[in-house]
Amino acid sequence: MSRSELLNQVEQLVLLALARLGEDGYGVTIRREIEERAGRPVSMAAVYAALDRLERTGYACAWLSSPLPERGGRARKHFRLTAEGVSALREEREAMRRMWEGLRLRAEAER
Amino acid sequence: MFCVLEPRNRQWILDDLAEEYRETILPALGPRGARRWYWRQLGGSVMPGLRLRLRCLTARSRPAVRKRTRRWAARGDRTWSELRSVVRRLRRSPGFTVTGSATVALAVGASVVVFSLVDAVLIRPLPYPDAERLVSIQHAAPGIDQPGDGISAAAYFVYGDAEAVERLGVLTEARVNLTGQGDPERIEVALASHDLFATLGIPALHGRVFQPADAHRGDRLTVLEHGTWKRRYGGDPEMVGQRITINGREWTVVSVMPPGFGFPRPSTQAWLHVTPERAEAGIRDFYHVAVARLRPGFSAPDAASELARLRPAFAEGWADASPRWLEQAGLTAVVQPLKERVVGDVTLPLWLLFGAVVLLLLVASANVTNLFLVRAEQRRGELALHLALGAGRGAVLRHFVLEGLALAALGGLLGLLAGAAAVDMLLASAPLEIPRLHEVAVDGRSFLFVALLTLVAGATFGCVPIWCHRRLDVRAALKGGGGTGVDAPSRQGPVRVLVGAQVAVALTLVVGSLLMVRSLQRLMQVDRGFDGEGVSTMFITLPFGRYPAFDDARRFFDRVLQDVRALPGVEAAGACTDLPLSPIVWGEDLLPLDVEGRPTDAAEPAGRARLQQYFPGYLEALRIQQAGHRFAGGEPASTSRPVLVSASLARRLFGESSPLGRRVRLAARAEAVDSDPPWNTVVGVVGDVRDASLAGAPSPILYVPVLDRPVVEGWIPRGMYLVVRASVDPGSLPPAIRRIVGAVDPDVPISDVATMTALVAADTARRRFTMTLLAIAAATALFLGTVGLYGVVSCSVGRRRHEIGVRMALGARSSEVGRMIVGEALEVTLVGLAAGTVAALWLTRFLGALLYDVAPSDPLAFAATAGLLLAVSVLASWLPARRAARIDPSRALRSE
Repeated sequence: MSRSELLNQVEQLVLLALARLGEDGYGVTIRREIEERAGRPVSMAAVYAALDRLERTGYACAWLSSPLPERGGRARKHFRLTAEGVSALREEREAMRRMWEGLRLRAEAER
Repeated sequence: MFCVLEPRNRQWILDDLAEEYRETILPALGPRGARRWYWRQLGGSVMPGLRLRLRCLTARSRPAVRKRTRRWAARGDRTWSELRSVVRRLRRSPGFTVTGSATVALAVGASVVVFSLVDAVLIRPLPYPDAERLVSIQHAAPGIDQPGDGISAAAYFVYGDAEAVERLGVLTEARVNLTGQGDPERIEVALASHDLFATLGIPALHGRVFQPADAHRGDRLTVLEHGTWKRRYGGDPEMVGQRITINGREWTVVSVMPPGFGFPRPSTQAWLHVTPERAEAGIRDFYHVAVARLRPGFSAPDAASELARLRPAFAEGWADASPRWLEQAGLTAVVQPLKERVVGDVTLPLWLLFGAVVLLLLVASANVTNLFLVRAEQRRGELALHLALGAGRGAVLRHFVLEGLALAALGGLLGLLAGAAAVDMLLASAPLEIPRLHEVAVDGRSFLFVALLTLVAGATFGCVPIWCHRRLDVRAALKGGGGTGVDAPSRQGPVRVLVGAQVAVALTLVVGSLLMVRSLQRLMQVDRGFDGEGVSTMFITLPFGRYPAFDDARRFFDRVLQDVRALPGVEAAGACTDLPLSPIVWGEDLLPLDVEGRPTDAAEPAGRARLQQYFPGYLEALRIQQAGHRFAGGEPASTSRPVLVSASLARRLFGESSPLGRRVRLAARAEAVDSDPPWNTVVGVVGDVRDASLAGAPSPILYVPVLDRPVVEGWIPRGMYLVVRASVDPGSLPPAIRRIVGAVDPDVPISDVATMTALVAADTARRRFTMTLLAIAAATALFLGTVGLYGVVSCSVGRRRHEIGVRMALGARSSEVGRMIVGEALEVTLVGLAAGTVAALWLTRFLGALLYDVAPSDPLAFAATAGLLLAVSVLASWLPARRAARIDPSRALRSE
C-alpha cells in the first residue's frame, strides 16, 4: 500500500462522502454531498480524478450498477470504501486531531 | 468537455453531469443559471482533466519523471488559479478592461489587415514550385531608343542554352477578339512559347499544358484561364479538345488552368501557343516577356554575368543581326527575381502602410501601459501589503504579467476577429490592381503574428509598472495609502514619457496624411488639358480579315460615329488611337520627327512625339483647346497632308515662332521600305493634354486627322477609342452604342468601357488608397492620444487633490490652478512635438515618390499639425483642469 502518499483535500472529502453515502455513492451524489455539506464547490472531473487515485491506492473500489429501470437507462459507476480506506480515514482524523489540539489552545489564548 | 476529459472516465462523468443537470440544477437554477453552472463545471474540469491525462501518460515512467511531472502539474495548477483570479479582478473593473482591450483590439485589428497584405504580397514566395529559382530576364539598351524592356526572339534561343538557365519561356501580350458562343469579347491573352508552363511548373487542371512537341505541330493550340472557362463556357470539362474562334481563326483548347493562376497578369484570359521560329528570329525586338528557372546553385547575378558573356552570339546568324547595331545599343541582360517584377510597384506603399501601423501599435501600447501604470499606482497599498506578508517579488511580478497578458489576449482575440472581417471587406472591394491580392488571407501566420504581438504587449503592460515600482518602500506605502505629498518625480516620469511618445507618433501620422491630402488636392487641380465630365469611352477593334483596306475601316467608323451623333443627348463624338489616361499604351512611345528645312539626323531627330490619329469630333468631345483649322468628318485631305501639333511640340520644334504652315514628317526608319516619307503641313495647334498621367508632364503629340486618305502611309484605323460627350447619364450610352456597332457589324467587340471620370479617378487610385489608410491611422492615433492624455491628466488631478488644496490654501487662485494643470499637459505635448518633428522629418522622406508638388518637409503641414496637437492637448486637459480649479481646499486638506 502507499501509506507514504498523503491524501489531498479533495480525496479526503471524497472518502468522507463515501463513508456517509455507503452504497449510494456515485458521481452525482458524492459531488453534491461535498458541495452541500462541506460548502466546497468541486467539479465532477475533480471528483473523478480523486476517485481514480483512491482506486489505485486501494482505498475505494468501483462497481457498476445494473441499468436503471427507465427508458434508455444507463448503468452507473458506483464507488464504495474499502477496509483500507476506512483505516486511512481514521489515521487522517487522528493526525488532524493531534495537529489541531495544540493550535486551538494557543490561538484562543492570543485572542 | 469531451476534449478535456480523458477517455477512461469520460462517459461516466458526462453521464453523471447530465443526470445532475437534469434532475437538480435545472429545476433549481433555471436555464440560465443551469448553463452558468455547467460552464463553471467546465472551468473546474480543465485542471483535473489534464492532470489525469498526465497521470495516465506517466503511469509507466520512472518515479523521478513522475515527480517532475507532478511538480509541473502543481505549478500549472497554481498558474491556472492565478489566471482565474486575474480574470475575476479584471471583470470587477470593467472601465479599465474595456478601454484597455478595445485599444489593443483596434491596434491589433489594423495590424492584422496590413500584415496579411504585406505577408501575402511582399513576403511570401510566388505560388509556383521552387519559386526562388524563378527570374525574369529583361533587356536594357541605353544606346538606342528601346520601345520595350522585353527580350528579343533571338535571345529566347541564345539564353535558353545558357548553363545557369534550366528552362526559359517567353510570351508576348496581346488583345484579341473572341467570338462564337456568346457576345464578341475582347480579351487579354499571352502568346506563349511551349515551355512557359513547364518553366513555371504549374500543371493544368484539365487537359495538358503546352509541350515541346507542340512547337512542330501546325495546329493552333490554346490554354484557357479558369475564370474565363467558367464564365464563358460554363466550366464544362468537355471544352478540352473543342475549338474556339479568335480573331476569325480557329484555335483548339488543350487545357484549362487551375483557379488563381494568371500569368503574367490576373487579367490574362488565355494562352495561345506561339513559339518563336529560329529562322525568323531577330535581335532587335523588345517585346518578349521572359521567365526563366535557374539551375540549382545559380543566383540571379550569376545568371546575369553569364548572359552578358553570351552577347557576342547576337552579332550574327540572325535575321537582322548586325554587330554595329549591337555595339550601338549596348545590350545588357537584366536578371531579377520574378517576385520583384510582379510586385514591384506596390512595395513602397505597402511598407509605408506597415510603418504607419507599427506606429499605431506603439501609440496603443503606450496608452494601455499608461492605464496599467495608473492602476498600479492605485494599488500601491495592496501591493505593499502582499510584499509585507511575504509574497516574493517573483510572485507579484507573475501576477502583474498575467494581468497584462490576459488583457492583451482579450484585445488580441477581438482584434484578430475584427481584422479578419476587415480583410474580407478589403478583398471584396478589391481596390486597384494590387498584385497577388487573391493570395491574401488571414491564416496561421497572421494568427502567430497576433499571438506574438499580444505576448510582447502583455509582458510590457505587466512589467513596466513593476519596474517603475521596483524600489517601492513597503513601510511608507503601507502607511501612506494613496499619495499625500507631491507626486514623486520617479513615478510621473514614465507616464509623461509615454504621453510624449504618443504625441510624437500622432504628429508623424498626421503630417504624413496632410502631405498626402495636399498632394492629391494639387493633383486634382492640375490643368489636364481636357474636360472629362460626361464623356464615355470604349475601345473598338476591327478584325483583320474583314477590313483589309483603309477605306473599309474608315467607312465603318464614319458610319458608327454618324449614328452615335444622332443619339439623343450626344453633343460630340469622335475617335482616337491614344486615349488620355488610358491604362493601356499602344504601339511605340515617342516617334522621331523631321522638320522641313533642318538636316535629318537619325541619332538626333528634330523632335519626338506620340502619334494621335483621330476622327474629327474627338477634340470637341474632350473639349481640348485647338487653334487653327478645325476638321469636319470625311473632309478630303488636301495635297498638303494636314496635321496638328500640341503646344509643347510646337515649342520644342519651332520655339516661339508660329508653327502654322511649317512641314514635318515622321523620320524614316532604317529598315523602312520608304526612305523618303512624305511631308505633312501643320495647320493648327492643340492645347497640351496630360495623357500619360495627371502627375506626369504632357507628352508632345502629333495629331493626324483621319480624312478620306490616310495621312500616314499604310495605316489602317483598326483599333480606335470611341469618345462620346453627352448630356445624358454616361452609363446609358454603352448599351446604345453597342447596338449601333452591332447593327453595322455584329462580330465587332467593344471593350474597355469607361467614363473619363473613372479613368481620372483610376489614375490617382494608388495615391488615394495610401492617403485613406494613412488618414485612418492618423485619426486613430489622434483619438488614442487624446484619450490617453485625458486619462493621465485626470488621474493626476485626482491624486494631487491634497497638493492642490495646499496650493489654494496658500493663496493660489482657482484660475491659476487650472492654468497650471493645462500648462503641465502642454509641457509634455511640446516635448512630444519636438521629438515628433525630428522623427517625422526623417520618416516623411519615404513618402517622396507618392507626393506631388509638395515637399516632404512642407512647413505648412508641420505647423498645422503642431497647432492641431496643441489645441487637442489643451482640450484634453481642460476638463480635468476645471475639476482641479473647483477643488475646495478645506475639504482636500482634510481628506488625507
